[in-house]
Amino acid sequence: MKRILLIPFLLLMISSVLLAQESIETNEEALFGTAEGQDAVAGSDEESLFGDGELISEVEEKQENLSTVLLTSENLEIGGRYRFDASSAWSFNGATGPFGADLIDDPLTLDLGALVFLDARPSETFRVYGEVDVAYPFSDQGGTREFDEVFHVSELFSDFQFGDAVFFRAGKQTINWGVGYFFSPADLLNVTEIDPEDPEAELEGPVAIKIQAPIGAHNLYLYTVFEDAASIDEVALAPKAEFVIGDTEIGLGAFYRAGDAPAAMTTLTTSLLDFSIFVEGIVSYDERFFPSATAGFSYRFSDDLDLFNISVSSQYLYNGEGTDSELHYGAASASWSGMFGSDFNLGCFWLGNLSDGSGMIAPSLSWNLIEDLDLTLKASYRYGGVGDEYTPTPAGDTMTLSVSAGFGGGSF
Amino acid sequence: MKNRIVVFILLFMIVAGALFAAELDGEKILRAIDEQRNFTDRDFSSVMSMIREDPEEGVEKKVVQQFRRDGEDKFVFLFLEPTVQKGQGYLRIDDNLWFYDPESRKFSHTSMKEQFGGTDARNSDFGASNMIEDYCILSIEEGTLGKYSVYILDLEARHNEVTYPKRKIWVTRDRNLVLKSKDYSETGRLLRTSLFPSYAKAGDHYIASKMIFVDELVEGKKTSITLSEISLEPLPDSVFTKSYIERVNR
Repeated sequence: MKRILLIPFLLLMISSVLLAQESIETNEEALFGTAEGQDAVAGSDEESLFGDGELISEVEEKQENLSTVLLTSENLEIGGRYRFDASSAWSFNGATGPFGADLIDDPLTLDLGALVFLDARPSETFRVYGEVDVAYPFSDQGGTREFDEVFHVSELFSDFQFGDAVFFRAGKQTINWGVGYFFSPADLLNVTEIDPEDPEAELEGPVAIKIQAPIGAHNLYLYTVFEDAASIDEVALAPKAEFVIGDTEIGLGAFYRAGDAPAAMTTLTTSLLDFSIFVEGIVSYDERFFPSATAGFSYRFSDDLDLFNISVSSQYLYNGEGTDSELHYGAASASWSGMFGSDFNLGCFWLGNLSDGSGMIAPSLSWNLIEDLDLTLKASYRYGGVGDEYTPTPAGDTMTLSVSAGFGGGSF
Repeated sequence: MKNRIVVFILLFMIVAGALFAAELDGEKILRAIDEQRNFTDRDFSSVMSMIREDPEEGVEKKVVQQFRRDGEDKFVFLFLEPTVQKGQGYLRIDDNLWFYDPESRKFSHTSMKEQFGGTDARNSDFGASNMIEDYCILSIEEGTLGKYSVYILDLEARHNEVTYPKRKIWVTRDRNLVLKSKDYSETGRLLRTSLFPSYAKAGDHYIASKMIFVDELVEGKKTSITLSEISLEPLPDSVFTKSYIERVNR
């Protein structure tokens, strides 16, 4: 019986000691002492809170260059991100959703996998990095699933340099080329395109050699792209220059591969009031010029009480690459994370083909139940004529309701 | 009548002279603060350990490597901890501030006014100090803070580029070290109290080696920052580039 009483008492003792260690001292008398004649706050121990009572300490300067320390490591670093998301969706014919419309699909989706990276830094001028994604199901499913879908190498490159002025990255790598958020027509180098519904996801890059020469705030690049090249004639070249003028960054680049339409691109990023502005344009030549351009903005607002953490992004795309017609697109998203300081996040995403009038709008509400458990409710409404870009099925307008949960995902 | 005029002129001169002297002293203090805190002639590196207390979210620790070259308005911040933020970085060159996200491998322009990596500190807390150009002095008085004799300065922003439009700072009289700052909104609402209880002397400069930022709007929310591994060794030019941030991160 005494033992039972002892346990809560010990827990209380330990938690109070831990709390005392963690809490940040902000008592000014404890931090700065008291003037002579003034009473110290009862219980405040000036000596222990303020060291030897001196405000200033002479530092023993570290002689090694910390910037090079970060570039080397005696050990191979292994890390990554684990994910396990389950999602169930119900798609209905028509805008009324479950209220009177026909159920046309109800798939259950599991996304179990991990992205694992290896980072080796034997010297400050040489590094090897590799990244693979392993995804469930972990078998070929009777020949219906490629090995590449289970075990996918997304990056494998080395970094080396010439002096402290020219830097090389050689291998399969994600390339930083365009500046668009939902669309990036100028990005001719990466293997995958931006998914407007997941615009911050890492893109898969090509096998290439990047040569980078920073000059102050400016940068010069030359990419030699080997992806899918069977002979030296099929190797692509892509030079790019980034210039900083005031608070604006301007990029000028070109892409050339024998047999493909050569292209020239330009990008611009700047700030206007509290908005981040981005503009991107590209023109390719194949018997005639094909221009495409995009412009957009992003805005973030956070109040001092953390009640309103708002993010808004919007972008317009003019796609002149089509052979038959020119197309116009728009996309926008707004999110309110930690609504009124709670664990709820509200979001809304819109994507539309302005030329054929089709599109989708998807409001969502997510709830962070506990630290590693999220629940998301989403309604996705696709509108437009039958056969339009975002309503390709004979069903025309569709409403999809989905519930998804993330179980214990995170970085390691 | 003549005597009255002479007395009046004398009084006016004394008052005007006193006000002028106060203005001069205040500007001298702000200039001294800038000179001591800015490493205009040397590079500066250190590791910042940040502990954030939030009554709802609990205690969170972040570790950030910082490199500064104040003479050229440049800095680099790299998140070393926690794992979920590891690899994120900020690069500042003049008026340009880029945020690097290792997940997408993208750089994006961001604002100096934004909160620094989800703490109560602001990006502007870590760049070069420019008090003399950012603020004008409304009043100056003598006082004490704990056992230290201080000047207490009321400041108002000269332009809207600063994070806090109004500030009140407590500065030691002997070495012009800022011990405390109360930061206000345009309407005079107290937003944040900053405490600087210890300084490190590096060369001829003083740098706050411990900083405490108290969020005055959310009770119990505060961030403590401690500096370690301080170095004034020259840094290669290549550190203040996008290339360095990409190479040093995953």
